[in-house]
Amino acid sequence: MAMWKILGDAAEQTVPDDDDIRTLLRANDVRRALTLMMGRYGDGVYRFAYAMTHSCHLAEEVRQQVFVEVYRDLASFTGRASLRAWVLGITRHRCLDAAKKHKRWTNRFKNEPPPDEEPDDHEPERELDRSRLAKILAICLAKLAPAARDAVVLRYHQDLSYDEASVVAGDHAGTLQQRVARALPALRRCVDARLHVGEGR
Amino acid sequence: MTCERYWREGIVLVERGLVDPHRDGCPDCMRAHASRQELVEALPLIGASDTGDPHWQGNVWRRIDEERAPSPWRWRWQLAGALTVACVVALWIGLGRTRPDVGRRRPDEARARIEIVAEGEPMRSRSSANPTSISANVDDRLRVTVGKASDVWIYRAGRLVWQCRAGHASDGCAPNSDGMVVEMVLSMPVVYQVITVKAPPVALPHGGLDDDRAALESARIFYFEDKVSVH
Repeated sequence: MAMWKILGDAAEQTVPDDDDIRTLLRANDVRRALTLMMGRYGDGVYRFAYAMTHSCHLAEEVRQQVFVEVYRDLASFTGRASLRAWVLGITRHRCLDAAKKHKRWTNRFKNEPPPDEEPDDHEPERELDRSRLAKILAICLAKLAPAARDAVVLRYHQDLSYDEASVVAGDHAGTLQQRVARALPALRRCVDARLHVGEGR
Repeated sequence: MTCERYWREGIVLVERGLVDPHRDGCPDCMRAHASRQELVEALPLIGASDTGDPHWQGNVWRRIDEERAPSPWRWRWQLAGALTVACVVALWIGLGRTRPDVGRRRPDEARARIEIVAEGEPMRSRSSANPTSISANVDDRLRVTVGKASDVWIYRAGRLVWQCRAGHASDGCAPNSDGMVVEMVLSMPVVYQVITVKAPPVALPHGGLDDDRAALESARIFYFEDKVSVH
């Protein structure tokens, strides 16, 4: 039984091995298979896209686009990777596309990117609740290089093992480990800097 | 002094799932590890409180159905595309028919008529449809008849010895209502080459057969070549 565990305060979810979806696919019932997949992976895809793009609008657009693509390609799904890894792989590509398109748009029209969504509940104490830390982390994640962000999100946001993440990202597990090991200190520095700004207010 | 080893090396060991013996004896590294742990535990919470558009699944189905349903405009675009392709093909075929045969021989109607004349009478003659080589004797006369607008260049052993411009009367070059008749005496037992060409550049011929041929071909101009072997 494959486990999809969300760490922290979020509820733990357990996901079956997608046998039901595979059975529907064998029966060529793609619509019902997609319905099950949307229910099972839709939120995960949205959260992954949000962590990658730091934008609710882009994340929603990516999610819908991903499942349209999933529907189109589901019949040709070979089953070599898990369905979840396959869906996350598509999501990752669409996130990278969306980020590039967004950057081009911003550059072309000289639009300033939206200001960082600073949490408004600044606390004087260093001990912040984790949800506020998560909001700051989202801002800091967006400042990482795409490859580093990719590795961190796959490993610790999506809770994939490095081997699973390497299937999704198409990189070696060792490479991803190095990226994460370099990215976490950068994230820590970014978070600390923002916490100090918060304390100074 | 703070130990920075954890963020340089210790974290790599952690990511690889290896034991870091240094960490347990180093308070700075333990603090750093706790700090990393705090990050790692907070990361899954990014976006956890937001689930996006509640109607997103409906939007997905709408997009899928839109992709599958033929657009009312689609057939018009297809028709426009097919017409465009047909026009391009027709143009291509039409241009292919009218395009000059670069570097090739001219069509038959543009070719010269070549005759060998002995003692004032036609002794042997051939039409342009025949092979391009004909034989003659020393002192026979070569007569070349061409249509309007054709120049005639006659080479002896590859060197230019006779040149008649279309419409210009000169020694041996007699324009008439049908075109021009060129006559010259074949005085040496060598090979003569006759080039007939329409509207060549003013700079041509240079005088050497090979150079003139190459110049005509590079300028993409029709020409026709006949040989007369004189014995």
